Amino acid sequence: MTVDVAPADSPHIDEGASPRRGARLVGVLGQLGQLVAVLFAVSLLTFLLLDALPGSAVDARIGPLPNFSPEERAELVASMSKQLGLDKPLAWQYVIWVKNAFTGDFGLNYQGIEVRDVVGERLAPTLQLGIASIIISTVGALLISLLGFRTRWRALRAGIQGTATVLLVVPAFWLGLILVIIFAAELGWLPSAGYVSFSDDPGENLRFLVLPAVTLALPQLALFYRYLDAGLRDTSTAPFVTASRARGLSERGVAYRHILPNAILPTITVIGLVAGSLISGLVIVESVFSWPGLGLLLVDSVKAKDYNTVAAIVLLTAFAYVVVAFMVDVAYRLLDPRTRRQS
Amino acid sequence: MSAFIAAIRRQPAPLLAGLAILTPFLVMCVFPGLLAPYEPLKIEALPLLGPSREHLLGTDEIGRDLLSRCIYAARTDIFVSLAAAAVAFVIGTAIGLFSGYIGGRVDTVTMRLIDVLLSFPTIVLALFLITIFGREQWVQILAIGLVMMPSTARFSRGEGLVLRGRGYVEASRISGGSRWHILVKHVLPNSLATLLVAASVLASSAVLISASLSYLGLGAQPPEPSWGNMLRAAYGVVYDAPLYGVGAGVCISLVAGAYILIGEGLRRKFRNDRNVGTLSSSIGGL
Repeated sequence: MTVDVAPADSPHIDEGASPRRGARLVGVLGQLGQLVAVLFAVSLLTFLLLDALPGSAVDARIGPLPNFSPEERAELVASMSKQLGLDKPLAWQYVIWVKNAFTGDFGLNYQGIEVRDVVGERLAPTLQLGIASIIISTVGALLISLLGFRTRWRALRAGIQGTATVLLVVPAFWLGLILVIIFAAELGWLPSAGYVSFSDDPGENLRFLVLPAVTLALPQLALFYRYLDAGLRDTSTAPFVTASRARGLSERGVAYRHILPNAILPTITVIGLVAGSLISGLVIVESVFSWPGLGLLLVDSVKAKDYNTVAAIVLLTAFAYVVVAFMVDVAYRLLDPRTRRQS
Repeated sequence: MSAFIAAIRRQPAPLLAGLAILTPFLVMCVFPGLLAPYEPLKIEALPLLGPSREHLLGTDEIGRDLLSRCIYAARTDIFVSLAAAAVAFVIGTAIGLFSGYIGGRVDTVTMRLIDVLLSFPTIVLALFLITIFGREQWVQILAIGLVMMPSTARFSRGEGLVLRGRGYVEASRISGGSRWHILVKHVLPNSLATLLVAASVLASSAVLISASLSYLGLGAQPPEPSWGNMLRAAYGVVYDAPLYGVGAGVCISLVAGAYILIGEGLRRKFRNDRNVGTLSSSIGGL
């Protein structure tokens, strides 16, 4: 994912140019209608790409179906073509597809199993891993940026900043390998890959969770840290901070009561956008650690050319992103009274 | 000569550091045979040897020299990432500058479309495109380029908007310059400094995305070496040869880091002309 933040010095750029996606989606044009329009466009684009499949779309989308005889398969292809309205105009086909998608019906995967069921059983592991990583990165970034901000040791601060920068160019599969070498191969503390469900064995589940969650969290942590650190430093020179110092507040009080709440605001947007596009990281991390979530399913489906499953995951993750971006924007408005006054 | 050295010393340190890191990789990319001690596909020794004087990075699971494979991998990795960054840059800036400069309804519609593209998570969209259009190298290049394009368009649109109000643009308009003339002769050259900074960040993201795809087994296919597929192989033998993937991993980080350094260097170099945003303003994570 890509996070854009407006250059600090862009007075010429009008409201519409603010590259904060959440703010663009909703703040500028306003309402839920906009959200619906984007969702519509996202689904249309997914449908059109799916329609661009070479050959007969249904034939390609149904896959080899090992459990079916050739006759049964041909029959299924014929009934699916009719069901999907392939004899009708493209627009009508889209309507059918979207209607099915909204009721959770994405058709069968290449083995003849309902895509809905296949995707459904991957949701819990993915959500567990994703939420764990966001908690680790948010709490970690907050603690580390405060440490860097309040410490008197310049070396410590420079070290933190350097590490955060380096983490931006260490892709997850390389970071994961380093962690596996240290904690699985050398020290033997944690398993190198695999998954045990929480209901089977909570302790083992958490042991398997540690490495993937940390691998996913560290690059996020570095990103959040950079925003928090910039926010803390910008805010610390603001007039209201000087004013509260002048009123005799302790350094500690100034830092926690006045600087921190204001510095956190821009970071909330970034955290939200990262949370919304977590799937990008999950794709890699789940493949690295054989974690049976949506990301691993996506990669396996791409390799198997399982179009229906891929389309379902693409649509689901794009929707998740748009909805989360919308919620972040709403949260931002609630938290920052200034944005309410503007609009 | 001394004037040349003086000119070099005036350049910002990150720019020089970035170029110093990148140059050997560009040499590897064009003339891998010059630097590689062995053939990348030939079995030279016992499998999974640790680093030694003969094989500086050790050997892989069938006894090929890992250093040579890392060097030959630069050819694919750097070519794919630069080509993809070029695709994103050319299409993105063309759309962005045009949309920002024209403004009005055209701009609104274009930016809504860009928003829609931005709603697809990067890797997911790339994987979707590869599923549909195949795994060939050109599909990969276009897929990576297309997923990075929207953020480039967004960024350069800001430039177009800013430049639209500049005096020299107005002067050209008043003296009868056509839209096309103004875009090509005034807007493009004057935004180039800023856009170059964005381009180097693009190149960095492209390296990471293309390595991710080949890590997932959707990039260069074995036996052809790529840094991503070497790291994938490294996981399989992590208990027997823990250092197997280190070379490939370091290569990815060095190249991605070099581009970011170059971008930061260019930013400092151009800062005197005009403020061009901060490093984090244009950086893209995965």
